[in-house]
Amino acid sequence: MTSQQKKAFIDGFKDVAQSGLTILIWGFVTGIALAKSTLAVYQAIGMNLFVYAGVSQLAALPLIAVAVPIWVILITSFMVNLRFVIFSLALQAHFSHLPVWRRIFLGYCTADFGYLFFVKRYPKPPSLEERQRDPHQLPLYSLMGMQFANWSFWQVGGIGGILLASQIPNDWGLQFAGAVALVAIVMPMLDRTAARWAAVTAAAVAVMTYGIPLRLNIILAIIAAIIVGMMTDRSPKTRLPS
Amino acid sequence: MSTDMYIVWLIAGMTCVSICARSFFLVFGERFKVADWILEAIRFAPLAAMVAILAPELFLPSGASSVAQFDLKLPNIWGGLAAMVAFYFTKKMIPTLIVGMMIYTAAKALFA
Repeated sequence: MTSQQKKAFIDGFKDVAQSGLTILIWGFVTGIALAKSTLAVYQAIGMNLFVYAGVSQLAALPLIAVAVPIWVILITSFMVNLRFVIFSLALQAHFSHLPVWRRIFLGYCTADFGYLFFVKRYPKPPSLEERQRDPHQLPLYSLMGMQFANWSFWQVGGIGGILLASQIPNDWGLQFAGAVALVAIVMPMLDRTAARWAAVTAAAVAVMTYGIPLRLNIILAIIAAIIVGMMTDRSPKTRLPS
Repeated sequence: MSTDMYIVWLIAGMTCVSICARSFFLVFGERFKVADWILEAIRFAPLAAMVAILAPELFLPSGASSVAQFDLKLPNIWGGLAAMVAFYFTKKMIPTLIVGMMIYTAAKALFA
């Protein structure tokens, strides 16, 4: 790593570490849920380490409890993860020049917070020529720093939750603390009118359609928010003629 | 299949699902270029995803199965609104957490 790459990595780490407490609490709450499920402690830790996808882990637990066939859980898991399929589009625009295994690993490591801060720091992907001319690949190292922070906080929280679950009484309302911590992440993103409309739309759709299976309410909320966000976005368009 | 092997295969499978979902379009590499209007559109996706995960936690009881379970006596709603107000004025995580949890606890006691 060159010194510039190191700096990009550290800056990326710091970006996500600002939200470290939120990630820690979500991880902890997820860890407690894993520990209180039918999984043994080592199985819960293994799942948290490798699957590394909170919402999908939580969605799987009630299915594991009644031992439904694995393929049913995997389909559920993919549906719950559909938002990442959308996220991978923007990553593709930044990193399509890398070798295939590098891209796959990069995608696997990019969870919600890593992606969120990456597109905040690099909203416009560079052209392919610009990327190939850039010897330092600073966005790549920045993303890796973000991923490392996201992964570390999540694992410390998650494994902590799994190991300490029996000591934590239910009535502490920790699950709600996770939600409050997320409020502090979402609020600063509402800096523009279009973002506010998108958020209100996403909230309304996600709550109204909460009853539909496979947590597909998340993907419906994203689609609705994109439509409303684009309609209410009055910032000048900088779209290039293609 | 023993329960142990069931869990091992499940974790392996779910890990593959995480990999497939998150690298879905990345695997295509240079074979296609994402259109600018798509990149423009998905700018709102990460915000919307977080809100979509958060909103039901605030406005529906835990373990709810549908919107019919919405109830103004739910302490989450009041704690959540208090947290939003607290963040609006302080712009800081810790006061937001403290105020949100205090109002949540108070509302829980009040409506119990």
